[in-house]
Amino acid sequence: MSELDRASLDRTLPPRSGSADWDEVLRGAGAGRERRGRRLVGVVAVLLVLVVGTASAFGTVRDLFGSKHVQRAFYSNEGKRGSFGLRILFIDQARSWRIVPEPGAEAPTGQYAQVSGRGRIVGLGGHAQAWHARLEGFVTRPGEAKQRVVITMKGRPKGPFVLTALQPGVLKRDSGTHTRSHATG
Amino acid sequence: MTGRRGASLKELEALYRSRFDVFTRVATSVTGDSDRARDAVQEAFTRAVRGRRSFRRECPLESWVWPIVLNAARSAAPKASPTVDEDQLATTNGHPEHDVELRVALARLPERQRTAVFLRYYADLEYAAIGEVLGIQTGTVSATLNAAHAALRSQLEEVRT
Repeated sequence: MSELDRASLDRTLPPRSGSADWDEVLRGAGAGRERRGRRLVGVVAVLLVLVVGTASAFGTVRDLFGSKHVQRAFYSNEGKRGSFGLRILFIDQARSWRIVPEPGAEAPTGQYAQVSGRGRIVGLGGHAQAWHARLEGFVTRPGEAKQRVVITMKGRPKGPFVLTALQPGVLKRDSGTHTRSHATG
Repeated sequence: MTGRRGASLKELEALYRSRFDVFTRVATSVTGDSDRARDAVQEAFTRAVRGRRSFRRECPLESWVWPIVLNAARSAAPKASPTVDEDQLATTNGHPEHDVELRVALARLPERQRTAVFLRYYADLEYAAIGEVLGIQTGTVSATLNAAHAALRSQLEEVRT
């Protein structure tokens, strides 16, 4: 059967997506902490700056430090519309997130989107002055409360964003975020 | 004689880095979606790292990891069968008509046959390794691949006549 070679099989599959990330595997497994130790020192220093600046408005410093999940999400700005995807695995059934631009990112102060997960339902809401976000994603594997959420934001947010859990508690795993670039509107 | 048991993180990392693309592409044949497949491979290796001490070295490490990957891919796959996006094929691949025919024919195969095809012709596994991965005898692998060949040949000839 001449059709069955790697190249032809490859062409029958959807285009490739994502890349290998061994650190993500180790994070998920709770292994390799020693390997990441030195890197964590740098990350913590950055987070201190980011978290302390917003802690007073949205909760105590203890609350924010209570979560190990502080994830940077790179947002792809394409004209007036762009989007990014989140893959979130909750250890509990309800958690809210705040997505804020990093200092220096091209977005007015006060814009944010909030994502909350409750079992099989993911809601998206929040406040935005010049752009809005809408939920495109869905919940998979409700027993594990794993949720894939794709958010499309309309407007002109630009640059890196920080995803911060609003509630205290340790997350089971952060499977990372990745950028998606949808067509401009 | 017990020998060394368990897989080391270094071994798993080496396997992950060298075969990530193959794992992901074969997982895509199960999930029908590259993102889900990538998640499934990540999840599978997370499980493998957690359970690495249970690897008994009775088979190659890759043969031990493959079932974990396929199980994760099955869990991540949507309940409905993946649809064939012909427009996408037409714009991203070199031989759209031929590829669409083959893709449709592959999609119609029973999952075990389709997985065996990808393990053999994409992952380049030997029959014995495929048998270990799928939990079947080597002879059954041969029969499964023969059945897949026959079904594919029949469907492709049907389309082209």
